[in-house]
Amino acid sequence: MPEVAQREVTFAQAIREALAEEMRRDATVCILGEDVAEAGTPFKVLSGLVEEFGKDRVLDTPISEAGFTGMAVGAAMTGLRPVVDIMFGDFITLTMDQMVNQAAKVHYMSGGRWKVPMVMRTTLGATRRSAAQHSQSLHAWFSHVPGLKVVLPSTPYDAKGLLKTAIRDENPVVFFEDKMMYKLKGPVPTEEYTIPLGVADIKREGNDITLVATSSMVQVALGASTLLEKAGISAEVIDPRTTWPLDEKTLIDSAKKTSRVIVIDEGYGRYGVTAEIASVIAEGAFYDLDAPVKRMGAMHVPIPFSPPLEDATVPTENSVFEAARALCNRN
Amino acid sequence: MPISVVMPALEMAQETGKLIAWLKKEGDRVSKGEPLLEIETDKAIMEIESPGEGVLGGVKAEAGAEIPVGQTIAWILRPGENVPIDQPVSQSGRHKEHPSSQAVPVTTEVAAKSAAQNRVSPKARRLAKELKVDLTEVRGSGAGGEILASDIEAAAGAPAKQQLPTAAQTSADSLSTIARLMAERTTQSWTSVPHFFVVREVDAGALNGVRVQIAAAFENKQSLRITHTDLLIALVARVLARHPRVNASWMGDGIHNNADVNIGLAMAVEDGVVAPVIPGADRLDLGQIAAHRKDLTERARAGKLRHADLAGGTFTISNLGMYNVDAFSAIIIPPQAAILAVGHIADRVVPFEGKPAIRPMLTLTLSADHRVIDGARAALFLDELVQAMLFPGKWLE
Repeated sequence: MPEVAQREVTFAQAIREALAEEMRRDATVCILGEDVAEAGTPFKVLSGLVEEFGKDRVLDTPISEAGFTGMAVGAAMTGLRPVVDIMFGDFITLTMDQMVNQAAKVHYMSGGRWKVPMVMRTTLGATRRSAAQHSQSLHAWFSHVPGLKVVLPSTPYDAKGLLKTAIRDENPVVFFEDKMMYKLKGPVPTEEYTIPLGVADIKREGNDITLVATSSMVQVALGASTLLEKAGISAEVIDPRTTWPLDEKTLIDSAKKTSRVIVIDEGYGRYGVTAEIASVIAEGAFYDLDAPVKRMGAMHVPIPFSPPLEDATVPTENSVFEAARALCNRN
Repeated sequence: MPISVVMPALEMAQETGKLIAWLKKEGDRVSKGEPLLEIETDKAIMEIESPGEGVLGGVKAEAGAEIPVGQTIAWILRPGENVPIDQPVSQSGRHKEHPSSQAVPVTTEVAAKSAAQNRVSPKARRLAKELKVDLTEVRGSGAGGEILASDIEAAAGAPAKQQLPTAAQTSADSLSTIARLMAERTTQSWTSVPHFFVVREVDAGALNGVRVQIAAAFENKQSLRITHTDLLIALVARVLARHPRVNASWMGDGIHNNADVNIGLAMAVEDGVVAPVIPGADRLDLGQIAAHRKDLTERARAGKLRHADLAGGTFTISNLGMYNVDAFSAIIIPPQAAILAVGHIADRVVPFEGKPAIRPMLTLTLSADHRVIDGARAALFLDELVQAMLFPGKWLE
């Protein structure tokens, strides 16, 4: 991170800046989705963009995710760089055919003659009291499909740099934002920068245990590492930033250094992102592991509306702290 | 030069031997070939003879100790010789350390710890190899007693531990060799041999009669008691000679016919069962069989069976008649292909010459390995055995 980065902006503002800068830079970049123009999305992430770029480039669509995602695939194939807004990540289910069978396949099936330079921005994360159909973290679904890249920013800095790279990518990128993180502030430089996809970031260096965390769980892991420090355990926090491409080397190197790993991701653990990452680490660092690789994710239940129950379904600073302490044999 | 007395390997897969007793004391003069000590192997207790002439010295193992084969346990010294300075105990790769019983805080988790004793983290295992740390010397500090990397590092830094005598036995070790082997062998047989069972009832009237007649002759002549078991051994062996497949063995790659008929006889001993063998039983007369059987029985009870007594069986008879069992199914002793389970002779009402009659009846259950014997072969063998029991006279001439 450049040292001049003293300015602090929110996660939402970082997203907005990335979009605005790319739209100024490239006239083919446009936004389409539900309530993206006048409303600026329910999370106010896009506020002000329609004023600057007009209704032709910030397009409010009907409530039809399959329809406007399909439009975006076609627009991308024919010269635009659309950024689709899917308000809640839960609604990606409606876009699956467009994304999985069309967007992900076109470049390959056309022998590279067609490209689909589109971005799907959507959300993940629970604890917003939004109940079972508006609280899921389904990024593992897209991570499973060849031809799709999946980005999970965890800080305003990463969000801006990664979104700009995603927009410039020649093929589809799905960009998941934690809806609880939009108000998180962090340093973002004023000058232009981008972050390559497939490069993990060491959010905190440590020696005793590695906490691999994605998206919403990065802040949880950082909080846990502060608690661990007080308990005499030095935790390293690694943020892969993209589930595909996946920076396996950084994960394995950290595991080799600390010999103990917990993988934390807000998606469901079963057949989830944590399973894939744990497997990569187990294969790559087996002879340096001193304990089984542990996984923490959303409980395998529909997210409850009841606030106390909802809070119990996702990993917290305390639960990560306890798990790390147990893994380090220090309880 | 002093001659070492080592724990011998008497069987191919033997790892350890249990020292039962020293027959000579430290300082005793012994001559070559003189019985020196008794050991218990997987199968039997046997005497070990002195490898040379001299004075027994440097005795390093006590009665009851489980000792890796190849380990020196004492020396035979000539005049003027001293016990050699301790050499590294492990001379053969088969040597296995026992967890040393040094002072460690007693915990309530002894069982859990010992179960986890062999669990080593991948990193710890790699480090142990690199730092040349013997994993068996390391106590695991993991929550379940697992050996972790830090334990290896600590062990690598620590001075090498002294070899300690292995007097203390855990409760698992105190399970006698016979009991442990019975558990292992029966599990292996029951889980890997495809058993099937064929059952026949036999009228034992003729058998009773022949025992009184023929047997009486032997008893008078040789003061030997001829038992039903002896008669069964003789008849089974003779019938087996005509049914080579039932006398065959499954050797992993296929069926192996055995030239001799060697009948094993299952015998209950203190903490298990052994099956010493009467070799060539089809060619022995009743008196020879009875004499051999009596010798084996007595020595089995005394725990004095030799290795050779237990080897080479081709078929086994297990008779629980004396315990009033009606019928039962026995577990085959691999590589044998069959075992005959014999119940007691009991009076039953059965049709006899067209009328209900009370007859002394006996139930035979043949357990057979289906890789070697099919149902028809088993039935034919059992049928001929039944005929032999109904008309034993001509088979025993």
